[in-house]
Amino acid sequence: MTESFDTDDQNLALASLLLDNPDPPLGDKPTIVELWDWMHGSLSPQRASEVETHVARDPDIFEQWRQLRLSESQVEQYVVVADSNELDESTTGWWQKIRGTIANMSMQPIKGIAVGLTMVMVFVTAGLLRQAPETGLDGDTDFWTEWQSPKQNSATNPDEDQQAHLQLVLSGVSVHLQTEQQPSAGPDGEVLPDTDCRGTAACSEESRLLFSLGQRVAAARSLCIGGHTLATDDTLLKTMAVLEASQLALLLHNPLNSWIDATTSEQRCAAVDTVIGRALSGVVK
Amino acid sequence: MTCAASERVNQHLPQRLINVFHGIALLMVFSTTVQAGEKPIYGTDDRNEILYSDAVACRAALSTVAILPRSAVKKGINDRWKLQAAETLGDKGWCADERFSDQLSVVACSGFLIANNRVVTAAHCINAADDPYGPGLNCDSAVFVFDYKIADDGELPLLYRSDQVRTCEVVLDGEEITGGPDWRVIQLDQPVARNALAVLNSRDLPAETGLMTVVGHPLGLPMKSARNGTLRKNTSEHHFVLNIDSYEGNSGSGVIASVRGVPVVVGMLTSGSKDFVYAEQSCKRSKICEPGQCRGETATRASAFSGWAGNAVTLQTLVNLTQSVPADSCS
Repeated sequence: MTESFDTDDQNLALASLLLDNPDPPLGDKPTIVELWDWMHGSLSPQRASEVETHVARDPDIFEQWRQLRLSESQVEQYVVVADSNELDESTTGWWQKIRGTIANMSMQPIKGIAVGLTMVMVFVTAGLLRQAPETGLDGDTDFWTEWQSPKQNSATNPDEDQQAHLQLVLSGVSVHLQTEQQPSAGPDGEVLPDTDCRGTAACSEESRLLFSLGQRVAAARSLCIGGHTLATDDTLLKTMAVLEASQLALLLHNPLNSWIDATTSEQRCAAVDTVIGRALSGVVK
Repeated sequence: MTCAASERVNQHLPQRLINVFHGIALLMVFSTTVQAGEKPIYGTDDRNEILYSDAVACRAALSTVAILPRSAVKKGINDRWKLQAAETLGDKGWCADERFSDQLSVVACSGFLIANNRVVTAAHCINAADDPYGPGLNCDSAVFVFDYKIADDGELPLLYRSDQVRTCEVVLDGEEITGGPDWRVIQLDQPVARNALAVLNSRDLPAETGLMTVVGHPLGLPMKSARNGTLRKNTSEHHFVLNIDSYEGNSGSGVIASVRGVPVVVGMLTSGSKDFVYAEQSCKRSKICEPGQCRGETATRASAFSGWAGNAVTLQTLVNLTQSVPADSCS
């Protein structure tokens, strides 16, 4: 996305905020995941128009949306890297056409970004279909084989909120371990959190996202220690955008970015282990 | 005071009795289970106060630094820094009869001097500039305290002179990969009038590497040495694995080989097995590893950071080393 594209878009929304509009926003306050989906045109028309009123009239929602946009500036960088390293020529050509199309839409900010980023998501979804299987371990390999826990003292433990985020990630790890017929425990047999709220109405989309991240990171480690090649995980872009905009699981941002930026399977595997290592600081001792 | 001289200083009698009791108890428990060559990491607790350590550990202690959160110390009058912490190991849930349970537990990580104004520690102890939410302390929230150890009178000093305390000027370099290289070099705000340790700049260990020593701050305690470290696995280009008694807080500790009495840093402790188990009373106890059950403790090879060391040594230098250092003194 170009700088002017962002600026136009933000100014438009800012102008909306400044309108002296006494009407309250319509419908429920959108979650950050809904905001992402709204940006990408994935909501129903009715819900999309409701979310739009929140963005225009609620400064908090506007700020969340702005943060999402900032986080998303990585999208194009990432896809360019993928172009040069991972994709075959025909795919690259297809992507170049899309980029051109997006560029031509830059004079129509809202519509442009929605359509353009939807195309990005179509592209990354196509990438997902090419991903490796979710399980990588044979029956004899221990998920925590040769795992080493960092030896720093607890003086630097994350605060309670962040700890809760990490526990959701660890719950995802735990559930994935069960699917691999592995003990649902940490590297030293410690009990992993069980905060899977997916079956409850109270489960926020952020919680689902963190849980899902745990599942994906565990699946990735399985592939790594199973000797498989770890391909790019394009869904990480959405995850990162939401994590950054919502200040969720701050401890994981740096290694997750390393995972996204990695150009080889070995680099990805190293980043995955660092994500898990950091998430394990969420284990209550 | 030399270590030899310091050994003449009596410990407080109750602590000494407890230590003797523990030693006997552990010997009784493990005398039938310990196998040669696969000594349980914590089977016999080799941790010791620097006060009672050998010359190699004593020398290393001079260059060892405790890394504390800035909130744990306060600069007072006469440029003295006062320790603010009051939480003991026992307060953190360790069993009352565990060794050192009555000592303060405040140190986040260990580190050591590799030049008069540079300290090395584990990457997960001090965050990189672009990773402010990382697992460690940020540069501006870390304090480096030398001589954080039980003194000759058996007590932990609560006041530190200005020449014993430094802050982080900038993070110079490092790598943080779980299971891979894990090191960070910090530039201190001012040089210190201390000698840096010799740092091996080879990926190979010296042929004479025998039992290794770790000097640092296990469980955030005042400085301890742990002797009798044995090489367990030496296949990775980034790290080696050893059997040695180490705990959380030991991250960043120098792993030291004694080459004809001269301490040489061959690695830096970064990670390892979990330190504790819960006893029946729900308090924490040191984990005792049965033979073959533990994964050992991982040390990043010194060659990873030796490029920043003021006193880097080659294997050839060590081969040519002829000047022996008396084993019973660190003076």
